[in-house]
Amino acid sequence: MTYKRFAVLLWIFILAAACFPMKADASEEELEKTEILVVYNNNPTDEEMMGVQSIVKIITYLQHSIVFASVDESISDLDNYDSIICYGLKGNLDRFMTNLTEADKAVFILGSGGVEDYVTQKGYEFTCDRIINSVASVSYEFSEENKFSVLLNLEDSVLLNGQFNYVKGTITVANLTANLYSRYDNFVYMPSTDLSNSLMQASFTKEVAQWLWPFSGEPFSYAQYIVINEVYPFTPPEKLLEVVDYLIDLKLPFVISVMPIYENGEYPAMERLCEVLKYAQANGGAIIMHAPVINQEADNVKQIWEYLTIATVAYTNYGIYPLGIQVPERFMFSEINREIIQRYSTVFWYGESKEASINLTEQFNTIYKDGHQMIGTAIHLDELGNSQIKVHSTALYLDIYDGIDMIKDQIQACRQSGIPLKSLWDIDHKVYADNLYLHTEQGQVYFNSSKVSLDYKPFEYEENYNYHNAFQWIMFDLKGLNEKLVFVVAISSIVFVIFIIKARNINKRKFLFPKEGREDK
Amino acid sequence: MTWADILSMYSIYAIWVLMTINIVLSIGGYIYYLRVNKTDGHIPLEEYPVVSVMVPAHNESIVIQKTVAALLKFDYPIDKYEIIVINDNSSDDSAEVLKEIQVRNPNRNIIVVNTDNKAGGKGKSNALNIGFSVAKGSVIAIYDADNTPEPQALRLLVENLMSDDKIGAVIGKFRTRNRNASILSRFVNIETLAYQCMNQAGRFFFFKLCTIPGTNFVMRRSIIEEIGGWDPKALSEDTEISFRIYRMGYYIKMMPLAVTWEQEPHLLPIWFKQRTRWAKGNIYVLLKNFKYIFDKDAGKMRIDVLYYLMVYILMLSSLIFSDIIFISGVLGFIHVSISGFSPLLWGMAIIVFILNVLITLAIEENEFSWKSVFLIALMLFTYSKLWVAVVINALVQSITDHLFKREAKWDKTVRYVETSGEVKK
Repeated sequence: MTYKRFAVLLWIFILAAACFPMKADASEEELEKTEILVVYNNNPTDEEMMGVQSIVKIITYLQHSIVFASVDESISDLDNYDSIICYGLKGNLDRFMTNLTEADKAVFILGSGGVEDYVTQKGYEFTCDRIINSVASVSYEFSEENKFSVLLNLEDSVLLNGQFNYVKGTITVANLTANLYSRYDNFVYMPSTDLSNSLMQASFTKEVAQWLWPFSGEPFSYAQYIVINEVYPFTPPEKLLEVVDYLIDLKLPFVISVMPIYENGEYPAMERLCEVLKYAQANGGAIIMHAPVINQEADNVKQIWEYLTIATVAYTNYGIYPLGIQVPERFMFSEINREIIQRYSTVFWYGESKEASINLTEQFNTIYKDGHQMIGTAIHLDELGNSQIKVHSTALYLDIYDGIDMIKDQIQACRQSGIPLKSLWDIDHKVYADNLYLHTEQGQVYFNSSKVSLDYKPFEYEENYNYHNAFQWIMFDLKGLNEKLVFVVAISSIVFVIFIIKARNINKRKFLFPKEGREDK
Repeated sequence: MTWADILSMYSIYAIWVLMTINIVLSIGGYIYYLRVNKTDGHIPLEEYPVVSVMVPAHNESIVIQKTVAALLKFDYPIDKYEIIVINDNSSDDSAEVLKEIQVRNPNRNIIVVNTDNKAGGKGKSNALNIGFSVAKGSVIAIYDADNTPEPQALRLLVENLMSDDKIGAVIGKFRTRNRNASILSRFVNIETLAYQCMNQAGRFFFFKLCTIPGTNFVMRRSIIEEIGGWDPKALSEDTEISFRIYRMGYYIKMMPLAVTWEQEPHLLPIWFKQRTRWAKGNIYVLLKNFKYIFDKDAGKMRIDVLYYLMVYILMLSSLIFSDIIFISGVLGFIHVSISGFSPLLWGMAIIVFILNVLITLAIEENEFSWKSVFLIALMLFTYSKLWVAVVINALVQSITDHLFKREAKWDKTVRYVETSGEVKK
């Protein structure tokens, strides 16, 4: 290689290194600096806990760390955070608001509690209109074509008016209209605390992402994934195939979430499902594993890992490679559940329970540290599942039993939302199981570090399958037996060698010191 | 799931179940051997019972002289035992040889019963029944015509028999006199020590269960009278009578210090014939006693019937299947697709087999050497396969005998003259 060629290559390398990673690193660095605190009332109600949970979940999807603490717990620590969210605060907040003002941080206040004190102490020239127990009409516009409205119950609220840097949405209550989100410098105010409503949650997600965005302009746009949800072996394969073919025809990337199978993986129903999955996989579809249904609170991670291994093998045996796991959002807030999903680099979340599962004593979104590629659930703003969230990755879950027409409408709505669709094959994944490692690199699957093909060939089926095979009970994975036998054989061998040595010594002693009268044989 | 998968799974389970049983029995046998070796085995009696030592002999003139000479050397009170040799329809010079022995030992109680082809020649059981009809002892001892028991053997057996009224019989240990005659006799020696003596000791240690080995044992006369003598149809009269003793509520004790040395076949055809007879006998006994598995009153013998069933059905079938799978796999006819199926399973089985046998050799004097490891491994791939052939042959013969209503024939094992370790026909 000549010097010139080498120099050119070196320059290309330097330029590439300068352009791509540094830009990304800089953004991430900025983001990581942002330490967020959400403050809630000292004795939060269940409703308030749900609100805190929603905020923590949204901030986690936005890939930020967040600390959650009550007024009393946080009052002295406000200086430690760059951004502070005050959620539905009530009661005497004089001292807290004084500290908050003095801390001079970016502040997002949801609900009216303390807002007047804060505005006054900050010296903002806003007028405050206090309204008691009324129904409010809220409207929010994600884009010109995507404007949504909703009615909310407001217990006690304050509407701010004045000159703001940025406003979004409107709230009309008792013939008074104000901005739903009002921003002045780093201060954002939203009069409602209701995050249970889809529109409020979606709008809050967008606004809080904007508030946290350290640069001018809008935050990064993230993609949406179309996920055919909860596919069982007994799901009619022709229905699944119809949806899959529709998506393939439209050249849309998609994901299929399969339910874990622990036994009877060789049944014809499973074979038929896997044939469709393999066909989908060969045509750009990606497969993920739905979390096992755990009726009780999980307490044995190893056991669940064993089950997940069995379930993974049930699919890999057919050449289907689940690239990630789909779990309920409550898994974020339980240590054991977080441990369960540690074996997956890619995690799809779905909403499940209406009850708060956040553990306030944890005070931190620990899941953030596990470094998963997280795909949150899309927030449906209408019956077709229109989602306007693009500040983090989202998944639009389709139910196969809704029928092909409904599914087509949902897919159409998804395409029109303006949020880009992405293939799961565009990112790399890692899946660990017992004695099993699955990963992808640039769309190539490696199973236990060996390249595997995703080619599809039609399956051959056994006619007249016997479901009552007399030998079924003895057919299980011998790996477990191997491990147990290695242990038994190792112990037996040690015992036998000790026995042999001891017997030899006894015989040697007998030879050297024979008993009196013993006949020599 | 293919048939190859199912058969592989079955073979793996069966082999490892049997292997585990053998490991456990070897550990029990080892402990029992050590325990017995700490004593001299004697339990002195105030008065020793009269013992009839019976030796069935059919054309045994080559070895009988040596055998009787050894019997005469017992350290048992000479006025308390008689030697009854049943010269069963012999066509050789056994009668003359035995007569000469009688003449040479006028002071010893040696009884020779010569039978013709009408009364005798119908097998060992029949010969024993004839001998028993003239026996006077309250204790009956049995020795094969090729045996040379050690002098203390009889006293040890009798003392142990009389030590407990619940003991129906006491068996000793037998060793191979001609172990160096050929590679086959070496294998037989190892098999005898590991799978007959050690295994017996293990079964006695855990369950107080033994099977009478056909020689070097004593039993109470009353039991033989009660059961009506030996079953003439049984080729394995020893196993058959063991089961009957269990059913009567007695147990059989093993006394490994009571040793007899016997000549084992050193040529394959002779060995094959002898083992086929044993296998046929065991199959007969197994079929006859199978019903007792489901009989709660049958007591411990059910364990033994089950054990024999496992050996003759589980072991035989699993060895056949595994060989078929191995050969077919090598030839590419079949493919085993069981998840986790690994050669490690076979490798571990071989290690356990070798160590298991090595223990039994280590505990015996002058048996252990590192060459044995090679010999045991060789045995696994040769002698064990021959055992499969023997049992298949026995099964075929048993079925044809049954179909054509042929009487079971007692094939006498051909003996050889031994001189200083060499063997001459």
